[in-house]
Amino acid sequence: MRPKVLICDDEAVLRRLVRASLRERDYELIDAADGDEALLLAREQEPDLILLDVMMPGRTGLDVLLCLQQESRLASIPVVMLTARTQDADRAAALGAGVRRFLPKPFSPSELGALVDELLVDAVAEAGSR
Amino acid sequence: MRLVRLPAGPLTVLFAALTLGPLLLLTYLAIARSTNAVEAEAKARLSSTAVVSADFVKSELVSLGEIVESYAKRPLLARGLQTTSLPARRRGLRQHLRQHLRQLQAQRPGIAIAFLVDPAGQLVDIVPETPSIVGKDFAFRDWYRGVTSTGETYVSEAYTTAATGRRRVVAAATLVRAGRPKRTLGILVAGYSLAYVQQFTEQFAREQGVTLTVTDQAGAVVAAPGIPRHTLTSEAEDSAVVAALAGKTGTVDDNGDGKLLAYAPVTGLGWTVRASVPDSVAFARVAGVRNSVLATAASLALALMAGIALLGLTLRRREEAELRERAALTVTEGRTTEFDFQNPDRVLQLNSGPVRGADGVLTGRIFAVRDVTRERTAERAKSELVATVSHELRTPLTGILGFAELLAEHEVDRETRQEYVQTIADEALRLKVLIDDFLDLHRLEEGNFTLSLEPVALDDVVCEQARFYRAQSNLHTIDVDVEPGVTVLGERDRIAQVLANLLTNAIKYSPEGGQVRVSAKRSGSCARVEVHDAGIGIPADQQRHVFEKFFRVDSTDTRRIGGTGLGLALCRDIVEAHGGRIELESVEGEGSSFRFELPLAEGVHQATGLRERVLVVEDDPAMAELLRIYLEEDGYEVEVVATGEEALARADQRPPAMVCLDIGLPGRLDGWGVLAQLKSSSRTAQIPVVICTGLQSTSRALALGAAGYLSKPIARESLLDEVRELVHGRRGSVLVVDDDEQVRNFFTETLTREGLDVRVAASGAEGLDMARERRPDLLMLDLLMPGMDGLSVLEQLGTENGLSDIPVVVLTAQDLDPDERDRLRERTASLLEKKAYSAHELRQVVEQVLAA
Repeated sequence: MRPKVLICDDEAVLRRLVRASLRERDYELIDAADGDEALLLAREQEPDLILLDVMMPGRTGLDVLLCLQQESRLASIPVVMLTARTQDADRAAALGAGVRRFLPKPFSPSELGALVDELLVDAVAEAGSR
Repeated sequence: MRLVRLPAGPLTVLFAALTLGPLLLLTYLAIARSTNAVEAEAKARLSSTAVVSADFVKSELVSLGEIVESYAKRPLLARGLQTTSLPARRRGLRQHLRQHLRQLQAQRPGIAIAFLVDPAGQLVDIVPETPSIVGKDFAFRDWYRGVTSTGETYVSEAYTTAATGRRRVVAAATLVRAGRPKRTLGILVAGYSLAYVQQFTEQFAREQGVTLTVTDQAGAVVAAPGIPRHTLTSEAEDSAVVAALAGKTGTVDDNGDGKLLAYAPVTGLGWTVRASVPDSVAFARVAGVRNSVLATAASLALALMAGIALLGLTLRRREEAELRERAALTVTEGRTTEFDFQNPDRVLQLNSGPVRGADGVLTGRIFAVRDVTRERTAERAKSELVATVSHELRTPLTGILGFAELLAEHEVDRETRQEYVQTIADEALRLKVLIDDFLDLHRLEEGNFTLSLEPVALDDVVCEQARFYRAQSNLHTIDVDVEPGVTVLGERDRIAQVLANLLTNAIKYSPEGGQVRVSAKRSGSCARVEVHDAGIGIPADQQRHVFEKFFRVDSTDTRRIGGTGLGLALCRDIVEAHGGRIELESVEGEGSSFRFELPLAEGVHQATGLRERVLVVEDDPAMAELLRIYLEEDGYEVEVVATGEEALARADQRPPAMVCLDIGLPGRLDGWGVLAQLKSSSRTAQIPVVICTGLQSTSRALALGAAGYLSKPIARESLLDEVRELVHGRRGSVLVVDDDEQVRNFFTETLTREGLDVRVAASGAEGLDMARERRPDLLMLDLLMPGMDGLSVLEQLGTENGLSDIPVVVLTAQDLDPDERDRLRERTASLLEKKAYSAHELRQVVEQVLAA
């Protein structure tokens, strides 16, 4: 089964960029345009990795992260935060909430691809060991 | 904060003066007032005592007189007196008279003696019996003179006589008369000892403390407490006696004997009564009142002084404490804590620090609370703005860099590449808009922002924007309702910017799609523009904030929509810079209407100078009339002809600025023929022709040299767009001198579309040659070029005949020093100091320069 990656960003262009960055890889990509949709899809699809934007209208990335932590099935899904907010306080808050990696915008597509590959190796291995 | 800054000493004195002064004044007034009242009362009382005593004396003696009178009227007494001379009956009659006298004497306790004298004054008989004086003459006595001269009962002056044991007496004498006519037979006299009056005065003195002194008509003291009963003291000299004898009543206070005196006459007797009391007694109540006032005042004064002393002490203590505190604060570190309160939303800052005495011993802590809500709110807004801006800038940047990297590093098919490039372009544009907004706003805020006002055809701007946004969204319909011919005074790009912002919002905030209405109408001396959407609306409590910078309506929907929060602030600033105002009407959930007003530029047409003439060739009168209305409203002079022949004749006679040509014309010559002939004659070849027809033959029209093509039904905007472009663009030739090929291409494209004759040169030298070859109406000159630079070209032009007055627009991306700027100013018509120009900006500059 192809590893599933959930992409959550309110900016359509960034969702497209993430897709484009990962298009040569064999992952199943799911889009969410806001936090609520992301949570819904996460519960429904149980993705192997979530790429999460921080600054979104309504439920922010940080809110989504905290909700994921509350649910046992979802708590272990690795989360990468994509954010334009690069202040230390924001970083600390995200890392404190259990985020796996931090990718500041603007990011390089190849860097993102490499990071996703790396995390999915872990995820797939974890899944295999279950 | 310290309330009092005066030092303790002077402050205490001030307090003392302020409190004790009034107290003293109050005390003085209270005493003076009460003394006067009490004294007046004491005098009145004493005065009435004198009057009452006088009445008593009078009644006593009047009744005495009446007794004597009643005895004198006894017939037996009179008969006894008639017969006194008869010796035979002497003894018996004498016994009889004595009987009467005894009865009279017994009538009252005060009657010491009673006696009878004959009319000559010789004593007839007396009780108690005193044989030694019988027969003696008493005509010298006052009572004898008084009663015989008046004929009435008379009360005499006081006198002493052996008959009364030399006691002081007054005599009441009355005539005894009988017979017809009446004859005086004798005088009946009662000697009254005044002991009773004396007793009265003594009792009065004992019980009331008032000394009563009764004097007779001669001023001799008749009765007074404590005087010996046989002395007669004259007080006829006493002023009070004199006054009372004159019949007056009054009081005397200041005669220096420390007594208050009242006097009254005893009417009918000519006597006086004086009543006197020592001041200490009379004014005892004055002293009492004074004493109690003084006591109260003194206790008040004491209390005040104690208070003042305490205050002084406190002030001094506080001064010392402050000094200690100041000293302490300079050496000890304070602590600051902030408390956030949710409701009401306030931030309080609590500063505290230890207070140490000079000896370093901690004496306490000092706390100061400061409301820092405003500061914190501003700080939060600012840092949120920074975060927002950072986010807004990074998002398009991420897209640009990301897709650029993908393009650079990956082989992608043509279609994908196209998509990536488009995305990069879109995101770059978005970035540009954002930066423009920021810069505009910054300039507006800094105030170094001037509008170049000109008449702007409002319908034109509105339609242009509506067209643009119609293309942006297929979910929305944008209806335009514009009153034709409304010209406002403003800067076209800015008005377009406001409309663009409002339309963007109208589309963004009606995410479900729907109708957006734009209307522009005359309204008084203004033009009123309204952009209405049926979107999510704005909550009432947030409406007044929407024009504030960086304000974003806070709801899930709006957060989803995003934005910089600058658009409406910018709109407001721009509209206000135009002297207009912008307002909002919105119902949450139903939609929003933004309205703004701009000043009208009535009477000013956008064509500066003479009106341009348009020749309309149209056989349908209704169509011809419509075209005439459209064009005249826009400021053109319109001439209408119905046939091809007429058209050619008019064009040859008086070449118009342009021709609107119908194809289907009556007669031999149709529109195509007219067009061909116009283009073939050198006199009319340059006149732009717009084909207005219901036929579909655009390519044929353009091939024959038509400048434009409009198919019927003809929309007003498109007609005017076409006409404006052709009429205004025809005016001249432009020479562009720039080493940058892209710039040359952009200029050629933009200005050719305006109908201008555009030539380009890639270097300064080439430019000069071309200008010499054919003089352009306008030279657009880049400053920084290899070889001959712009400044050298300018200098060279200045020396050549026929070229020195060509208007020059200098293009430069570099910063000019003031010296260069001055040199350029002298020579150039306009300075475009940047490298990127919008097509519109360029058109504007060129039009301006050519019009001048």
